[in-house]
Amino acid sequence: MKYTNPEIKQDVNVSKGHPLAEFLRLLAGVAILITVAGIVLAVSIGWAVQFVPMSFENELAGRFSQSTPADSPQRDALQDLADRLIVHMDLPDDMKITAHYVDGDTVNAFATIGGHVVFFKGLIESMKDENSLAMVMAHEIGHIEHRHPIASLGRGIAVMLTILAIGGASGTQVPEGLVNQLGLFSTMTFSRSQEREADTTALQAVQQLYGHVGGSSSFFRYAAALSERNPPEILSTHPDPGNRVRKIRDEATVAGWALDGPRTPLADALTKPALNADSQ
Amino acid sequence: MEFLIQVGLVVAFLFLGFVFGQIAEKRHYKSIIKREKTYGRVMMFGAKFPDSDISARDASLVTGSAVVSIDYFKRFVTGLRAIVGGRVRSYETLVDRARREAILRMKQQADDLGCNMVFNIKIETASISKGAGKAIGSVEVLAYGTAVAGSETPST
Repeated sequence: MKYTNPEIKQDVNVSKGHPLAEFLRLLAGVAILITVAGIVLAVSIGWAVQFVPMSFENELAGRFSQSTPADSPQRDALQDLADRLIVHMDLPDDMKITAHYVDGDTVNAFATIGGHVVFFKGLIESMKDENSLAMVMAHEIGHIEHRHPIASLGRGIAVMLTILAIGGASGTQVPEGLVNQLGLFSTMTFSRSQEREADTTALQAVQQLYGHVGGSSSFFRYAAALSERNPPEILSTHPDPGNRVRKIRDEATVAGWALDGPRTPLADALTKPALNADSQ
Repeated sequence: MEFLIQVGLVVAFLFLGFVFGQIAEKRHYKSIIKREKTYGRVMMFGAKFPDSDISARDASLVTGSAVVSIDYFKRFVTGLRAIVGGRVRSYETLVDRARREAILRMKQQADDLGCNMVFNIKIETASISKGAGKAIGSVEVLAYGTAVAGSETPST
């Protein structure tokens, strides 16, 4: 018998195809999977929040932060403004709005679960009159009225779970920071349609409180400043401020509301915080 | 911003893994093919003992083992593959290279001993990432057999 060991033919044990092509195909497939799963989750959560009782949301909020705000004359002034706006808004009975004042230079205000609206000193200082501030306040209350904070929280958790599930299924090391970033990002933001919804609600409340919608432009300067701080346009969740101004103007015109009128000055506690602190 | 940095890091690792992984793989295959030609003179047999038409002497144990690691790119692709299923192409080259390298080292040892035949060849594969979680993604292949200096006797 004649024995031979033939040369090993190349690529017998290795599938053909370029690794990059395989990578791109897989990436596209999984991206579609994640997107579809994410959209389905986000939509179903957005729909389901209406069944979450407000009492549960309040309890949830209490677990994360203190529900009773630190007392200050500024807070009282903000709460007073909120209370006057709520009269013209359509809040359910178990929905309570609590205003918070933060002594920080950030030009920001936000609404969070449990009916809490938080205002930073920086934002209030950038407002010329109460009408402008009322627009922001009504906008944040509008978010709460439409249950946006709890929807965002649910969405954030859903996004985190989706990423973790896919990371777990694939055994890939999805960097923990990335998961947290994505989850937090979707928790802290409202979608463009939610912003518009809050705008419409806010405008109506402001109109009913003051008899005109003057001062709402200051609110959009604030929105512009907000989007400037979030550089990547694609990640910006607020609609273009210019578009919002136009849209609001259109809405007001259609409804036959006055675009401006006598402005109401800001409460003393908000304009002279230092003086008030001294007099205490 | 932090988000972009995180994504950028993953992309950078993928790029590095791909470039260096491909270079290493091409180089390794080149070397494997070259040495397979050289050590083609050492024949391998699965049989435990030489046939009666082979006269063999100087039997000794020869072993060869190789450890090959995957790169970040391959691990990522395999992770994606694990979701949808299918042939894990990126691991095929890994195991193929480790197996051929281990056999080559075994053959080289036999050649150094003046042997031209290796009988009773066994190949074992061990994943050394076992227990180490995701820290290591390497495979070890051990090839061993009985090397002899043999010659074919004309059949009767």
